[in-house]
Amino acid sequence: MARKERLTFLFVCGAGVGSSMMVKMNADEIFRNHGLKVKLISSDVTSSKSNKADCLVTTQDIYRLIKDIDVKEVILLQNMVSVKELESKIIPAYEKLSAEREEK
Amino acid sequence: MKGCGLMFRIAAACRRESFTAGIITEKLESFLEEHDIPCSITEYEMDEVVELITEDMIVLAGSALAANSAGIPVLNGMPLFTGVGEKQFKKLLLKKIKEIEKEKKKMLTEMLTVDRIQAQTSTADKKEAIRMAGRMLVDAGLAEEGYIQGMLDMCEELSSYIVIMPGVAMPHARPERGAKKPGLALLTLKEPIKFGHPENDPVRMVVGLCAPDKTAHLVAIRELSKLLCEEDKVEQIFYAADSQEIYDVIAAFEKTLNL
Repeated sequence: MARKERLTFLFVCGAGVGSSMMVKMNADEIFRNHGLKVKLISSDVTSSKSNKADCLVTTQDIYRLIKDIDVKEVILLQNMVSVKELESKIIPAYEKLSAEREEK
Repeated sequence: MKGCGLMFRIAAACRRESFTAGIITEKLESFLEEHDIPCSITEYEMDEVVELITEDMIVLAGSALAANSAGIPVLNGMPLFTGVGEKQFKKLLLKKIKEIEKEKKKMLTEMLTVDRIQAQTSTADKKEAIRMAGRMLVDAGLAEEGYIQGMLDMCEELSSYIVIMPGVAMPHARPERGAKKPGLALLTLKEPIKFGHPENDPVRMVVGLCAPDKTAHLVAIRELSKLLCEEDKVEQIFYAADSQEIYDVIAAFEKTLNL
């Protein structure tokens, strides 16, 4: 059974143990409720660039430090616990990225 | 949003080119149905096992071994495929599920005790607020003295990012800065303080986090994140008169959750 390569979302916070975990867990629930399969990775600032991902999810402050990271999409969050904000940004990003992939 | 509370979440994983996860998923589904355990099983590839985070258990369907970085229990499910040792495996599975269900509960109230809550505190600035939260963690034996400086350094380095939502800051340091045991400390501020966040200022509540690794605090942090999504609960905490009142709000909320 050949499975399609999944889109990868990378969550970055300062230490990799606090807010990036919160956001990653919320994202997991959102994708699950939409019936979408993705790959979710979390990381701290210092090791974030060693991860390969399609989409980066973080905050403005952290993005400033890792601006040259190689991803196709960037999502910046104001409220790290808001499921609403995350859902309104991450689902369109998913749709855009999977459409781009289909075109190839 | 759909609640996924009572479901027991299992990941079935095998190598990409393999079909064993599918077979094991079917077997698990019918077995757990027989035992009235509502479950949600998702198939994954072996190399994804390490990063899984919200599953309750991982069942491997292949000879390869894989570990999980969040400490989720991993079982070898091949007996379900081959039939060899199937009985023992099913016994182990039920035992593990019981253990996990028991362990999952009440984590936030374990990580945050009444003596680590201070209501309506007066602080001069963000540094003092962070120091106070850190002090409670250190005094409780959860972190070494240097952890407080670690929290301040992180705040310095990454500016206002620790203000995770309107009115709430969650200062913490990297585990290697002296985190010993997982725990939280909470203080509400009588006079709101500016942390320098463009949208989420001013801060009314500071939640200090201490986490020695990525795993032990996960359920608590998930509960916390759900609590912070409830505007009325957050308001209640902001304006509560004393630490017991805050604790009671959290404990009552926790009872309604079924993570």
